[in-house]
Amino acid sequence: MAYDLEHLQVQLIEDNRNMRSLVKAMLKALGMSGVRDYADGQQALDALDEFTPDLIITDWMMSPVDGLEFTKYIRTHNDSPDIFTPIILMTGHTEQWRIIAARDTGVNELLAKPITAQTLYARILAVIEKPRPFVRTRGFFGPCRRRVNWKDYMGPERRFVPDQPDDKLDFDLDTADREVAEVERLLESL
Amino acid sequence: MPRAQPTPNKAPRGKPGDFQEIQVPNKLLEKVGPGFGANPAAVERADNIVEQMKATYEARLEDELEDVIASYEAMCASGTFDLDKLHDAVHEIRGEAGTFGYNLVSDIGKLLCELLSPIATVSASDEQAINAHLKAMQTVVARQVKGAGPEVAKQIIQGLTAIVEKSRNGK
Repeated sequence: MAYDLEHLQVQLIEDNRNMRSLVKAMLKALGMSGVRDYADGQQALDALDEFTPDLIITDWMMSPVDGLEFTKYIRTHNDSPDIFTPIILMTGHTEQWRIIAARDTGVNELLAKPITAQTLYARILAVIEKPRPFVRTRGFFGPCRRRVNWKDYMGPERRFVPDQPDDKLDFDLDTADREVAEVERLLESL
Repeated sequence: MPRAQPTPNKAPRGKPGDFQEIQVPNKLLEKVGPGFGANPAAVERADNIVEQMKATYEARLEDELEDVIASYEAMCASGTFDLDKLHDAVHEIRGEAGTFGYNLVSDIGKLLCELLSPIATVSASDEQAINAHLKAMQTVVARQVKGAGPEVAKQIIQGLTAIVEKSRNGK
């Protein structure tokens, strides 16, 4: 039997109007009828006076209040309606330092763009089925950041060694010319 | 905005005794349960929604890309580059493109964002590299190449990746 998502109160925050409509429509199709959407973190903060969400799905890059600032408010502010509210952060930025920054701010799940119905539903399932305990230290409050036991990690990056800073390649105009010309040639045959 | 580099974490480091683990009641499960696992019918419904919105999106994508290219050409002509603006516009396009099945546009857009991120001053080779990416996105959209595209698409991605990596490492 599938979960009944109908009565969940969801706050969706995304500054791109088209993307916001798309994700809202997807959430409704997934069975969530209680979705309220906002164009930035400030609008969503203002709405917290009269509405306590069960789940927050937010974009990262927005102004004046971005997704991480909003997350920080929920996790740490005295006026937060619920510091444990599950937060899913949508982002097209998947560089490692950004993922660490998001995790260290207290988001529960990261949803990488491009979003599909499958990945969106998977993240919602994750916060329902695999909630993590919260952790409070002097410098952090949020869901436990240890998803796996790294000593036992046998995944594809177990032998990953970061690039050495002196490992530089030449990039002069001549090489750029050749590379670009090759791409243009390939585009012709696309 | 998104081109900003990371700032060091200045949060005070906790001492061993500072650690506190809190088991939180699962309010979500209380509200949606009982149940379990995936709901293929719901996912299919959401996929159908995306499919329904695709026609509108395709009409918009070409225009959006044209606007970005026109804006970039104006920057080149004036010699004044607003790379944050360019980055944001490309970033938005790539985010949506993949959702609507234009994976190749999304992949090229991602590479272009990576190319733009470390650039402080636009050199002639940067200009060429940016142009190659934009032209590649435009060609893919014009020819309506969806999904990962044909074999040659992989080679295009490899070629652009090489440009981005050389640019990044050569800085």
